Amino acid sequence: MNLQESMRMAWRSLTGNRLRAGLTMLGVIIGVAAVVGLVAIGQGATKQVTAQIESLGSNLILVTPRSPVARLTVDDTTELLRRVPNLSAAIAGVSSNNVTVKWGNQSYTTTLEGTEPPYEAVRNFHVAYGRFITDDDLTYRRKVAVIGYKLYTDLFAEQNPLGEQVLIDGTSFTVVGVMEKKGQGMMGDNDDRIIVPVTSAQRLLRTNRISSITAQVKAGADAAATAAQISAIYQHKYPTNNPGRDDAVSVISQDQMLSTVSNVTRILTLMLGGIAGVSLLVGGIGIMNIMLVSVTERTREIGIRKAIGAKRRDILLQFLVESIILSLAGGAIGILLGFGLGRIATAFGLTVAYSLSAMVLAFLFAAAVGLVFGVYPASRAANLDPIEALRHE
Amino acid sequence: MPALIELHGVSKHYRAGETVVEALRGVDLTVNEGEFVAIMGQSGSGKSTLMHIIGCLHRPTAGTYTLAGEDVSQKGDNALAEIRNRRIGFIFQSFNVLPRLTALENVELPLVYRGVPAAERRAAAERALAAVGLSHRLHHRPNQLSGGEVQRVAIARTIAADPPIILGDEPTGNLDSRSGREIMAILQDLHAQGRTIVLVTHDETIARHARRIVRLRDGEIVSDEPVAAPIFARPQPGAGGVFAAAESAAAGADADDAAPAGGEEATE
Repeated sequence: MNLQESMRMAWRSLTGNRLRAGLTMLGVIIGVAAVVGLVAIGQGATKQVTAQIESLGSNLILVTPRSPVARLTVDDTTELLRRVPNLSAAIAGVSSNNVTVKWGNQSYTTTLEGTEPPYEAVRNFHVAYGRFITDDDLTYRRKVAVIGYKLYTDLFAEQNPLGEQVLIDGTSFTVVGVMEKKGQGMMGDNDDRIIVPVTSAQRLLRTNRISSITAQVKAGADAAATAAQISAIYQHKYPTNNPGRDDAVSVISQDQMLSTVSNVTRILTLMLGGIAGVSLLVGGIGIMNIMLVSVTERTREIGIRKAIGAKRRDILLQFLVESIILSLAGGAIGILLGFGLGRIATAFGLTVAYSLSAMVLAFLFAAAVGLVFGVYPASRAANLDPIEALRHE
Repeated sequence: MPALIELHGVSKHYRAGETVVEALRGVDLTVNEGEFVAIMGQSGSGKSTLMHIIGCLHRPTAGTYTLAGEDVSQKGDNALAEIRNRRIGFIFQSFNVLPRLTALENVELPLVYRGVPAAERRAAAERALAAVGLSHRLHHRPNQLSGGEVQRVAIARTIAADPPIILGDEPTGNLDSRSGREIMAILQDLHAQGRTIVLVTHDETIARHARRIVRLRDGEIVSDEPVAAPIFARPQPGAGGVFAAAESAAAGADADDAAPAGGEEATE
């Protein structure tokens, strides 16, 4: 008997018991769908975070104090620019996550960001209307503000905000510009913020420190080496006695950020895929279970087939083909369902990135599961004694 | 006629738990080509075991079994499967057709395992079903057929495979007398066509449809003699206007003589 006949026979017996075949496949379907869907979500997360880090700008180094000992001020930027020749720009930043902006009787809670004029170039984030903060604003601690696009649409309802007075936590600022629309970023929604001169922000927040320095490395210079140089400066400034402890100032380049984040998301993806893989394995055990039941149920049929001349191989093939058909069909349906899962995730606002390799892997794994878990029941069927099988009720 | 089935000193032992059951003890039996032999005995006499050995479903524990000049007593499973497929046709008491397949598919099955192309085996299956009078039931499943029809499907399966030997294990045991008679008529036709038939039964009347009766008791042959007046399940044109009384044959062992011409059988 050839393979085509075995397949025809297997198909007949599967379609003869549709409900059971469907339920058996369900395990594999869910397993494969989970692998495809979850890996897509994991890889989507990687993609999104990577895009967000890249949206910060390019060749950036982020300097932030890690302990209260570290005292970063606006002067640090000038010092860094002087001592580290590889830097093309360095901007001081102050931020507060929760400020109330009032315009007329409207009130809006947003993020305050104090910064310096090179912000536009360094962050690759520009004004759409009006102007950005100037050196003069900084020097004279002018109470001027550039609003994010979301404030323009939500607080001002798209009326011209330029020249309007807003109260930021009770202090009056003049709106001089509106930022372009940028969307989600590393530090939250880029459009949901109000940008003021760093000096004005310090006065508003009653501090003389800054919360971060964003430095830009010159094109072609080694970002990692530059980061190490900056790190060395701060290690000298704030030495830690205990070598096991973290530096007082964290210096991290964009590449490091990317690799850290992609490491995290890769582990996340592997974990999701692994969990899904386990469910695929469980699906395989389900196939074996049903095939064993099926062999027992069809003992008499096997006896009849043997009596009229079926060889061991014929019986083996028949049952093996059945389990492989189950797992392959389950795999194919599972891939489709995985896409559906991705759709649902997209509807919930997640970014998904379908991975061809994950699909191929899941499908092959499903096929292997069918083969491996089909062998035992099939060989049990093939090894039955024809007379014993015929006597089976 | 040359010997087709030759058993020499065949024994078969089963292990049933702690005890060993001797189902056959040194059986010597020769069946020539074209014979119609009935094997009789009480249950437990070893007649089924003997048939399983002749049918290559089991191997003897001791002794030799020569089938058409070839010693098959110690052949491997695959070789025996091949022999069952090509040389032996089984007709069982419990029919043993596959419930999920149609009559046609059931009849095709031995040819599927033989590797016969689809069109060819379909044609053979249709011919075989026609031969047993089931042309109008090709696509029925066993549960849509009567017992006699199912048994005829099983016989068609044998005919389609066209083996030289047909083994019947109480083929009429689960049938009413009328269906049983039809089955015996078909078997006698097959015998008339030159096939060798071995029938296992405990029913004297059924046995007397054969030409030779071998009696077994406790795993040994106790008698082996020809049937003096065989019963014919169908009217015999060459028998001088004397018809085999199928009706009376079914009624009892004594009423096995010829019935008057124009019996019910002819009008069926």
